[in-house]
Amino acid sequence: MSLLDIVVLCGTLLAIAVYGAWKTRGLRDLEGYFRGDHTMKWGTIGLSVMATQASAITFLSTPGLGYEKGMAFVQNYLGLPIALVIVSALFIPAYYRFGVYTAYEFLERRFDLKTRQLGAFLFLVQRGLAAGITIYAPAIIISSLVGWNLDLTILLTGLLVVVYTVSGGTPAVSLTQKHQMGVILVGMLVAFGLIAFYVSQQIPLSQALGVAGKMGRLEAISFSMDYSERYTIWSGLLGGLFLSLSYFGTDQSQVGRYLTGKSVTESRLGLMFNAVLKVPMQFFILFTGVMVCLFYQFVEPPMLFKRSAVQAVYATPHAAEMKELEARYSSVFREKRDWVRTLAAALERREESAIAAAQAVVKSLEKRGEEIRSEAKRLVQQVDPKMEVKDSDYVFLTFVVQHMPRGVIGLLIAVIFCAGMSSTSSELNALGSTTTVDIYRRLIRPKDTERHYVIVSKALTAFWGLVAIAFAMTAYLVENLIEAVNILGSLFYGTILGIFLTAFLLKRVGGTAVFVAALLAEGTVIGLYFTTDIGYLWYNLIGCGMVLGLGVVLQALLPRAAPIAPAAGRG
Amino acid sequence: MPIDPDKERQIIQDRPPFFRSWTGVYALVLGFLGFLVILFHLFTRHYR
Repeated sequence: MSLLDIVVLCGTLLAIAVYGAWKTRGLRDLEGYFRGDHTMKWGTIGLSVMATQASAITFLSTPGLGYEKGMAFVQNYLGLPIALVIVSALFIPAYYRFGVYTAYEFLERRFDLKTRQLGAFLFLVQRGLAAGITIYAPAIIISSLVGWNLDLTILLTGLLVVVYTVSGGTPAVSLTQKHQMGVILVGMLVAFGLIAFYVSQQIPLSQALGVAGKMGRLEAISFSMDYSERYTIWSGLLGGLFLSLSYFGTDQSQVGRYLTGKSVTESRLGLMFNAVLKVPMQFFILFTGVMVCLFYQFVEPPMLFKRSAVQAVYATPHAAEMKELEARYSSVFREKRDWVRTLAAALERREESAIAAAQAVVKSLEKRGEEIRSEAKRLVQQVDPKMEVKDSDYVFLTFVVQHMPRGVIGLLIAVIFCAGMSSTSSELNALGSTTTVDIYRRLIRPKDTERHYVIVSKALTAFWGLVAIAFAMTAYLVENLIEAVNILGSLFYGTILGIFLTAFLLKRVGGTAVFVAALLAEGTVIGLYFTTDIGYLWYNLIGCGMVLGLGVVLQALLPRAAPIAPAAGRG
Repeated sequence: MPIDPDKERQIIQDRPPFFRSWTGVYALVLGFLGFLVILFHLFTRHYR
C-alpha cells in the first residue's frame, strides 16, 4: 500500500471514531446511553439500521458471490421489505408502549421472567459468536492481501470500535454509523464507476452485459420449486421473510437502533427507508461482482485469489506442480478470452448460431478453468490440510489492490473496515445493553443509581468487545463468511421469532408453554443442522413454526394460561 | 411497568407524512417490492 492509501484509510477510520466519541461524551443515565434520549430522526435511524446489517462480510462475500455464481443471491433479500412492514406495524408500537430498553424486556411483560431470560440467553450466545466473525472477516482478508499481521489488525480495529462504543453508547454508534455509511456508499459508487470504465476499455458495456448473460451470471430470479436449490424466489420470500423478521424484530442489535427514534413515526420511517433501499443495494453490490467477473474475462485473474495458499505450496517440493497448473490455467484463460470476444461480436451481429457456438465453447473453457482451480486447491490441501481454500471472499479486494489507482485502494479498504466497525459497534452495544438490563439490573442488582448502571453498561460492553476480539483471534474461516453468519443466525432466529410471534398473535398461550416449546424447537433445529442438508433459511421457518404449534398444544395440556399483560396492538 | 398514557396517545395518533395512514405507506413499499420482482424477472429473461 502507498503512503496516500494509508493516510486515506487511517484518516477516515480515526476521524469518524474520534468525532463519534467526542460528540457523545458525558452521558450519565441509561436513557441517554442506550436510547440516545429518543432524539434520532428517521434518516439517522435508517442509515444506522442499514449500517448495522451491512457488515464487512457484505462487501467482501457479496461481490465474490456475484463473481462466482451471478445475481441469484439477491433473492435472499426479497422477504426483507415484507418483514420490515410487519416489524413497523406490530413490533414497534409494542416496544414503545412498554418503554423497553431491550426486546427481551417485552417478553417478561407478556409472559414471564424465564421466557425473557431464554430470549436474552439465545441472543447473547449467537450474537456473541457473530461479533467475533464480524471483526475477523475483514481482518483475515485484508491482512493476507496487504501483508499486515492478522492478530494486530484484529486487535487495532477491535479496540478502536470498543473505545467509541463504550465511551458514547448508542448515540455514538448511531452517529458514527451515519458517517461510515456515507463513506461506504461513496466508495462503492467510485469502485463501480472504475470497474465499468475498465470493462468498457475492452468491449462496449452493452456487449459485456450480453456476455455476462450468456455466461449465466445475470439470472436474478428463479421460480424453481426444487427445495435443494439454494436461491429461489420462494426460499427468498419465505425463508428470507422469517430470517429478516427475526433479525429486525427481535435482535437487540437492530431493535436498539430504532428505539432511539424521536417518535414512533421516526422509527417507522427509518425502517421503511431500508425496506425500499436494501434490495436495490444488494443488487448493486452483486452486480459489482459480475462486473469484476467481466473484467477478468479480458485481464488474467490469479488462478487462486488466496495468494497465501499458492505461496504455501511454492515453499514445498510441490512447487513445480503448482507452476504447471498455473501455466495450464493461463493457456485456458487466453483461449477463453478470444472466445469471449467472438461471443461479444456474435451478440453484436445477433447471429444466433454463432452465439450458441461461442457460448458453448466459453462455458466449456470456464469449466476447464474451474477444474484446474480445483486441482490447485487439492494440492494446497495436500500441503496443508487445515488451510481454507475457498477464495471467493478474496475476489473483490484482490481486484481492488491490484487494479485500482492509489488513494482509491485506501478508500475501499476503509469501506470494508467502516462496514465491519459499524456492525461490530451495534453488536457490542446490544450485547452490553442486554447483559445490563436483562441480567444485571433484573437479577443481580435491581435498585441502584443511574450512574452505577451506566458504569456497569460500559464495563459489560468492554467485556463483550474483548470476548469478540479473543474469538476473532482464534476463529477459523468457515466456507463463505456471509453464509457462516446467516447459518449461525438461522439456528437461533426461528426459535426467538416464534416466541415473539406467540406473544403478539397467540394471546391464550402463557409463559411455561412457550418456554418448553422454544426449548424443544431449538433442540430440533440444532438436530436437523447436524443430520440433514436442508437449506439454512428453512431453519427460521421450522423453528418459528414449531414454537407456535407446540405452544398452542402445550397450552391446551396445561391447567390454564398465565395472566396476560395488555397485548401489543397496531398504532 | 405501567403503560404511559402519553405514549399510548402518541402511538394511536401516529401518522406518516404525505399519507392518511401507515397502511398506504406499507402498500407503496410492498408495491415497490412487486415492481422489483417483475424488473428482475425481465432482466433475467432478457439476458438469458
